[in-house]
Amino acid sequence: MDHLPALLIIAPLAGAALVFVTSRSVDRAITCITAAVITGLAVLLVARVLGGGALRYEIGGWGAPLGIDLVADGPAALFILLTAIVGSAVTAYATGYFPVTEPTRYGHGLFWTLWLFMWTSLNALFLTGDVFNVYVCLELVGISAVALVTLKGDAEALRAGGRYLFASMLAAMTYLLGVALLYSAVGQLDMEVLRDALQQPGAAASGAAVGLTLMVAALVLKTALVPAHFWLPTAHASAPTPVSAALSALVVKGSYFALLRLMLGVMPPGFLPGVDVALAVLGSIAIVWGSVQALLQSRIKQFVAYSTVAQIGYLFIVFPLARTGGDVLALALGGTLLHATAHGLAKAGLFLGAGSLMERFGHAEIARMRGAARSAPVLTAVITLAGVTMMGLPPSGGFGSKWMLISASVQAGQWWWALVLGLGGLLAAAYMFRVVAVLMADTADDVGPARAAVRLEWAPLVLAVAALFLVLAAPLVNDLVAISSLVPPGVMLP
Amino acid sequence: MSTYLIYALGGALVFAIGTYALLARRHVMHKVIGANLMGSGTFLVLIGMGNRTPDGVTDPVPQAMVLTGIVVTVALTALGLAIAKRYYSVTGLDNLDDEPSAGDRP
Amino acid sequence: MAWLPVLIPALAAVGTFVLGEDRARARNALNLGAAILTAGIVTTLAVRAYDGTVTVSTLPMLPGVDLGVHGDLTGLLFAAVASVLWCVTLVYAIGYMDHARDRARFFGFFALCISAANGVALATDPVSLFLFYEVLTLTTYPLVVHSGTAEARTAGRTYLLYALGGGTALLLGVAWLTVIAGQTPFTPGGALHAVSGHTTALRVVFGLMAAGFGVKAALMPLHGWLPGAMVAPAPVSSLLHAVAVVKAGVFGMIRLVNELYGPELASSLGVAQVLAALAAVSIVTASVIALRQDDLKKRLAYSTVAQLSYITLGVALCSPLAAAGALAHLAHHAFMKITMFFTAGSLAETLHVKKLSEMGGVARRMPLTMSAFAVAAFALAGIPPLAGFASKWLLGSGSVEADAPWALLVYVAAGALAMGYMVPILLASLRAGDRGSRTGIESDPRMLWPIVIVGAMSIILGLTAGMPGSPIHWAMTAVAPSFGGVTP
Repeated sequence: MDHLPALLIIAPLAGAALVFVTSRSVDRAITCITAAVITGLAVLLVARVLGGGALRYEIGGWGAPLGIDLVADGPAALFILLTAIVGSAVTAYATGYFPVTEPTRYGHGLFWTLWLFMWTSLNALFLTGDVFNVYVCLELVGISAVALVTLKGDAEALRAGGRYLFASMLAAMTYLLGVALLYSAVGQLDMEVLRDALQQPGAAASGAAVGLTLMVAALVLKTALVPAHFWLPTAHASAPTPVSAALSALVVKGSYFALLRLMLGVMPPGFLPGVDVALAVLGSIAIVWGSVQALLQSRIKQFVAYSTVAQIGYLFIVFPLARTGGDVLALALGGTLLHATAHGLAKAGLFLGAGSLMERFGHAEIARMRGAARSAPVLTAVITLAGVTMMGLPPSGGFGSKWMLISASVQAGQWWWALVLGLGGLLAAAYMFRVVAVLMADTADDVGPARAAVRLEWAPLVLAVAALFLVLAAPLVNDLVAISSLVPPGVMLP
Repeated sequence: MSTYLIYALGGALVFAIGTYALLARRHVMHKVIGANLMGSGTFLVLIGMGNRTPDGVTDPVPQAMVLTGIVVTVALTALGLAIAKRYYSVTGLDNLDDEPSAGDRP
Repeated sequence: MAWLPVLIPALAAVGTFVLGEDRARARNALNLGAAILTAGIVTTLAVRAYDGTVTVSTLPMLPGVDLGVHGDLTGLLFAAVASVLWCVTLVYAIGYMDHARDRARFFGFFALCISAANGVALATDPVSLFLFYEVLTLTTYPLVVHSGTAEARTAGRTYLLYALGGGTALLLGVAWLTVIAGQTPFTPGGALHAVSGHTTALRVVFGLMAAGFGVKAALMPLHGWLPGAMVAPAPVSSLLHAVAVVKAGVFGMIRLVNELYGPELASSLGVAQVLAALAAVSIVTASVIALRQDDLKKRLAYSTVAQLSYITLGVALCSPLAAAGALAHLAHHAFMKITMFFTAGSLAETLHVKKLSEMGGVARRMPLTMSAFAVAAFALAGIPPLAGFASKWLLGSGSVEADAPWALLVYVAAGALAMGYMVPILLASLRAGDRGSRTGIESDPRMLWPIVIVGAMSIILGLTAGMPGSPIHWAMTAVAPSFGGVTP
């Protein structure tokens, strides 16, 4: 039980290695088994954290400050569980998506190894308690993600992957320099130790602030916050469908989680003056800009990718609200994490559904997918239900998060964020219903639902439905938020 | 001027040059080299801070960070070069800015 | 137990989707069974509520906010109307949609709408009500765009624009209120006594919430979506736009004024008066516009706008009789208007008649249908001893009771205008015309008998007004606690 954090990293890594050395015919089976194992471990971790509080694991028995600690607190466990659920669905989908008979079309069957490797790095990223380890894990995620994006091997995929890689490298090097400067000023790398060190008077005057600013900037680039979002739409759209789902749902959450830890768990409030408001302002711009761009896209995966750009903006509203502390922080944080979870589930469902629609119709043009409601009813349902979460309508997790963030904004006296959130919901409705209306439009043909691979339709449906009712999971999310280093101890949740 | 300051300023300068190369240059190789320069600049900063401990014993942590950083950079560089090479053989282009004529597959 | 009126239609919907397009008989049986069962449960809950037992049921949801339903008299009246009319409309729709496409989708979302409407009816507090209210918007959209034509899609887009815009206003209002006052369950007489000091905030919140409800309640100028939504199939226009969706809006108004703010607070803040004025303008304007419509469904749509504002005005007058009249009219109008929309649907489907100018000879061709329509039309205009008269009498008396004689004038004028826009329909049908052939009288029996039944209800409800169990008596018992227990 106590080794759970380590097991969550070892299991997918072992799976990846096993897949790599064994023959191609058992790839799928090994990956599916590994996915099931990881999901089980994730559930155990959540139960353990809820029951016994946060878990601190010293790798190899070497503790901080020289050793690297893994920290499994509430939010970390939540993200690990999200990764497990989305990952399992994506794995199930992928077994149907990658044709067994055409291995060379998709990188010689390397998808499975790379996918498990990415899963390993994601778990490691969510569990890390050391700022330098964040760098390592970010890069591991980045390498596997880039490789997965280029899997198709055609010009578009390679170009998207290349640009993603360069953005990744820019972020990575900047982050590393930031860590170097931080270490030079404070001499510590462990997050908890850093938190105490930065609260000492005079910490702000040292080079720590410069270092932290660089780190924040790098993570913002990695999380594709406007205007650093340029690499995301092509990368997410040109990848094979299961990869797109994982990228939008999980990978962006990884760097976001690191940023959250940094801003709320390491730095005392107000350490970098103005940065929290700046982030929220950029987030608001992202919501508007991403939605407008989504409205203008003619191809379905590009449309979904821009929706991701918009939805990422919501995650940044928490920062100026965190300054108010106490109840507001808990509410805002709960709302943000609920949003991240709901968006992860719904966006994965949306991408998988969109990919299946593309397979069904043979093209990616939204305008030519009329009448899909009749010929592909399950997929139309997926798109619509996932859209409900994007719009933040009840009873979805999107609504729950919107509610909590609006309440937090009003309580903190910063009511303008509430307006942004309301506007975001309407814009999301605009771009979602534009697509849904086309799907439900009448066509002359009398095409009945075609029999498609069950996995390609039901995996996304499960995800979308889970997100649809996620507001009922809000109590669970809030319980996990309470067990974290991001909320000051002793804060009473409303 | 202390030793550390020389390393730090030198490292910062190399980092800046690398950033410029990564952002402003079009050719893929220039970008890759630029990223490596950024890394090297950071490593200089890190190495320089090794001997600033009060009791004269070198701090091993920055050196560990440099080693890890080198490894990661090598991996990224390898991937970048592989992509560049493959992209060149598919499209004949040496930069990622020009539009290749590409089709659309799910 | 209180969850059942919400759950049963939802489960029926899932079953309908799973059964698919082909198994029509199983699908119809499932829906009809669910409808009868739901109506039965609502009745049981109502009987209990009459005795004073209100069943409450909650589910933890967001921090500090639970999702809850309760079987109180006010809510059960709306739920009863929705459930009973679901049964009737199902029979009609099965006949109407006999040759249509995508019936599984149609009936499935229909059931979901009823589920959501019942949720709105039975919600314990503004947040739960908001949740079901928005779900109602979502579930009605596929029905509006059902035919998939460009016209339907435009109507759908307009509907969403209004409904989601209103929903956003409602969300902001409810969220703000919850921050100020915590979770406030609907309590007869108002639940905001503790925070009555925040006058500006309370006024703004009222405005936001009234705007949110006003969209579905078609309060002018937020009514723009309703005439366009008439492009939907007649069962949709009938049940949803005469009953479920629009009544959800006015029902929200009733909860807002009587059980959230309470009549005292609402009038002392001055917001009730503003609402009353808007409603009055709405009544007159919509009635006048109705006079000039040639398209039958559009005429009925504007009539609905006016009639809904009767209810809004009644609520805003903050007096026991007017409030009772408003709640009773919610029920009466539903029966009257649904008769008329069913008729419009029969005319369109069987005779391909959509406009008044085409209606010559219809009375000869479909005597039963048009008779039912005539009854409903006279009832709507307030002719005794029909249903509409009873509720209008209460509304009128309430205006006097509230020292607002101008409202009485509005009601009287509206009644006259109603005659003005209804009578021409009847006259048009009596004109000689080429629809008067004697072959194949009336329409499909599945469409005919529901019309006769709901038409007869206009008579029955009028004759039995005041007897226990009738909407009038029900409404009076329901609103009494909000006014200090004075039964009018």
